[in-house]
Amino acid sequence: MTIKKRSIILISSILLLIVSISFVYAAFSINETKGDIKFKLGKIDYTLNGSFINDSLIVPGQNLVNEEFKLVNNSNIDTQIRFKISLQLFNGDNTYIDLLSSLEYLESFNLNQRFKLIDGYYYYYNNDLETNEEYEVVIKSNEPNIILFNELILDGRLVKNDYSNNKVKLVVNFEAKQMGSMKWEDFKEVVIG
Amino acid sequence: MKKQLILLISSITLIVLSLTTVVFAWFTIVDKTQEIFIYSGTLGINAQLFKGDSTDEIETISFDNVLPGDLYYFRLVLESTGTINGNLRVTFNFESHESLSELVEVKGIINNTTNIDIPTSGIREVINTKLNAMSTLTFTFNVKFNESIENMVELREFNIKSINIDLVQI
Repeated sequence: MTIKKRSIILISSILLLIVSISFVYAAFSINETKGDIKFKLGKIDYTLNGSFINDSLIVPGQNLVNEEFKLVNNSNIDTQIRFKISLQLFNGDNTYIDLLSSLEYLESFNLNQRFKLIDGYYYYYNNDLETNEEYEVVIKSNEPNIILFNELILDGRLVKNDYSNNKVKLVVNFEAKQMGSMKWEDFKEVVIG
Repeated sequence: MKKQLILLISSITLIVLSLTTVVFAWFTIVDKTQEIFIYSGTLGINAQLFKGDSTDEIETISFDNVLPGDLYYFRLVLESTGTINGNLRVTFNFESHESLSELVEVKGIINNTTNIDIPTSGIREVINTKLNAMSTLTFTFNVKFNESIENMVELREFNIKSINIDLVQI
């Protein structure tokens, strides 16, 4: 028998042995696979459009809204929203202090009537037609636009001359949260405008 | 001529003897021993995955728009259908965005007795135990999305790519 023939027989024998072992192993073990389980997180995405006037001098009685404030909803989950407006007075060193948070000095504030003021925040509310009870609205993912307000005028009788020649800024803080486990009390403030 | 005769007789004698031997051999083969029965054991497992208390088995499932604070329950029921005991090993193969793996908790309990915290990245062994023949093991596990998840991970995916179940004879 030539060396070549012997090699072929040897290799064949080894292969046969491996195959035999594989079959024997398969007979004594078993495997199953389950899954997959996929989770994709939701998204809260609002864009706040609108602007205040950019005049160097403002006076009471002047509408401070340049472009209507409106929310564009691109979220894919149900949400609830709130916002607040504050008038802040320049305090030096690029710092500002809140003068107004509940807008008690306003002469006119043309706000979307579905917003309700509670502790300085405007919440999106609705009335139940049957029970006449108010409830906070859940904004569906397919509800695209929500108008906030289009007019904001300071009341000169209340503002007086106390802040004349002072630098002030108006800030709209808007917040949105998911429905479900999160409560407003647990909310962290995120300033976007 | 005489030589040929001797050769012929010798050949016939040898042929007859050979046939006799073979025939003799045939008759001795027929004489069999008492039957010996060897029963081989079998190893089998039936694995079923359920969501929560549902009785509808799931193979793959997908959840969209998951929110922080959401909690999902699953049951993995493993039934030994074989006749021999085996060593059961279950591994979870996680494939998730790395920022999510720290924000999702997976906890399990075996037969309502043994609690397990499962790290949520890579391949993780969650069960390595003996499973007796014809017995059932229930592994309940939940997936909780931490409430501290922030918007930066929105639309990310958390995936239990596969649950591998191996049963090997002991």
